[in-house]
Amino acid sequence: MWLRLRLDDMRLIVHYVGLFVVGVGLVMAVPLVTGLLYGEYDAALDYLLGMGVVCSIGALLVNACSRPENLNHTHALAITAFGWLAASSAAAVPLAFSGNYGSYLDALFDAVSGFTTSGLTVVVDLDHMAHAHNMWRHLTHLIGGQGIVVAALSLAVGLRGGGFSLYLAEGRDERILPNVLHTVRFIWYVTAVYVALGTLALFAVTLYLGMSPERGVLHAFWIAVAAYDTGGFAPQSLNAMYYHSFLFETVSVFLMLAGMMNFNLHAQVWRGDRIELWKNLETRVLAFNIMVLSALVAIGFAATEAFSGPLAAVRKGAYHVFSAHSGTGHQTVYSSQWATDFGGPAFAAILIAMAAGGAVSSTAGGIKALRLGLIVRSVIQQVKEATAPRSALMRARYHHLGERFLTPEIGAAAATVFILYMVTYVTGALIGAAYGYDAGSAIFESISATANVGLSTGVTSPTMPTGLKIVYITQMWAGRLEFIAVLVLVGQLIMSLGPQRSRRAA
Amino acid sequence: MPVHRLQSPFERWRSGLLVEIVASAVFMAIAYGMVAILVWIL
Repeated sequence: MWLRLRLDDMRLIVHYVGLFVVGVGLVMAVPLVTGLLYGEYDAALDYLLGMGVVCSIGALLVNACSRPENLNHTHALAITAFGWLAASSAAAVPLAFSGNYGSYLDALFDAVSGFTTSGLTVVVDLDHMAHAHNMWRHLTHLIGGQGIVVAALSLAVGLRGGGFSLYLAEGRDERILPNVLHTVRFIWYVTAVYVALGTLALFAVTLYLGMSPERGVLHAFWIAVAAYDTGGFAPQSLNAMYYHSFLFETVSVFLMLAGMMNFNLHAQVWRGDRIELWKNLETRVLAFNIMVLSALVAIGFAATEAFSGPLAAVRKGAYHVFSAHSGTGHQTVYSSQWATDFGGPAFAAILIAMAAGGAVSSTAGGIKALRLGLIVRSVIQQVKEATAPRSALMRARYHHLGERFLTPEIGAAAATVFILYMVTYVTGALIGAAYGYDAGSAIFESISATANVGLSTGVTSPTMPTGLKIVYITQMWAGRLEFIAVLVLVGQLIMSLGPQRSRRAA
Repeated sequence: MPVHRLQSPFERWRSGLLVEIVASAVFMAIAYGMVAILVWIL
């Protein structure tokens, strides 16, 4: 049933959204310090001003609406959907001050792309951007990858009541530990371990490649965050191609694989249950998909003969399947090469990899491997039932953090999310085509935005039409929250407007 | 009968992390290897 938003509900939502905004403002202290350390005083001033503006507005929202007592599941969905937009709008403020964006909308595009761990960017002159701004762009990946709500809950900033409703509203299907605080802290614990190890490994590689230590450590941290959080931002306009290093790519793929894994699966393995890694339906679906799609890419490369030698083809082929499937979006080819060098089967393989996505309750986007596995199992089950005698009682099972029965409700839920993703992929592609882009590029970019991947054929640029920027912002936001929270917010707003319309009609 | 020493949380965490890293390395080697073989054959 749709909940009609009353004034009290609105106040409650605004109060919590204000807390998110204040939180974003406080995290701006990190790029502020980065700017001061690296002598970028103009950029540091952007963050000082940004903190002032954002924290003032946030504090105003929090205090204007006193903290109510009861937070139900519907409120949590609306707070999450609205909170992500508000947090992105706040994060865009210092970026808009930077001078690297054509407008506030462009800065907002990058903030949404950062928080949703997409990685599409409309920044201008990225190669000369201040370290402070790059730090902020990559921090949005770090916060958004784990979840803005998770970040807020882990600090328990006034979100004690209804914490689990908020946690589940953010596209997380499963609890890891019985206590919400322990759950979100475990998520940060896994993240800290992988990001620290990744930064160390990548720092060693940057030193080996001849980068200065003070620059290398920043690049290592940023790429580690972007790869583990399956984001896709990079400090250079050439993206991962800038480093020209197989070693660098290998470390990033390790991080992408860790990032696309379910946090619950990390918890199981770290508790000593290693068998779960092999038996889990998601791991099997991901392994199968990556193998089949890698083969398709190899076949496509053989047809185009675009790369100089077999080694280049292997490196670029497998890397992009990992990057697309995990939803990372780091790329080691020029945007134009998607159309010319990834012809036929290879292009299709990358599209499928992006659309499919990683594991549920991970930092990855897309439909998710568990849902695909469940849908395939449901289809097989229905075929079996159709051919079995009427008296036969058949129950399908699957292994995901223990043996489970595949009920029709579970199959239907997976199919619903699958349909919502497919409809959004197609709608975005049609809008892109209507703006005059060729069909292949429009489909590619639409899937990349909705599944929070970040690979680009070049459609996403500062000069793209304003309408298309807004469409991609919406797709990234809705895709990250897996639609339900967004649909609830839209439904509530329509319901709330209902009586006013009827009064006018009367 | 052998006596198993109980692992500390740190040891369990470390062995779990190692399992994940080794599994990722094996999987990556298979994926890259398969593409290499196919590119070579085709």
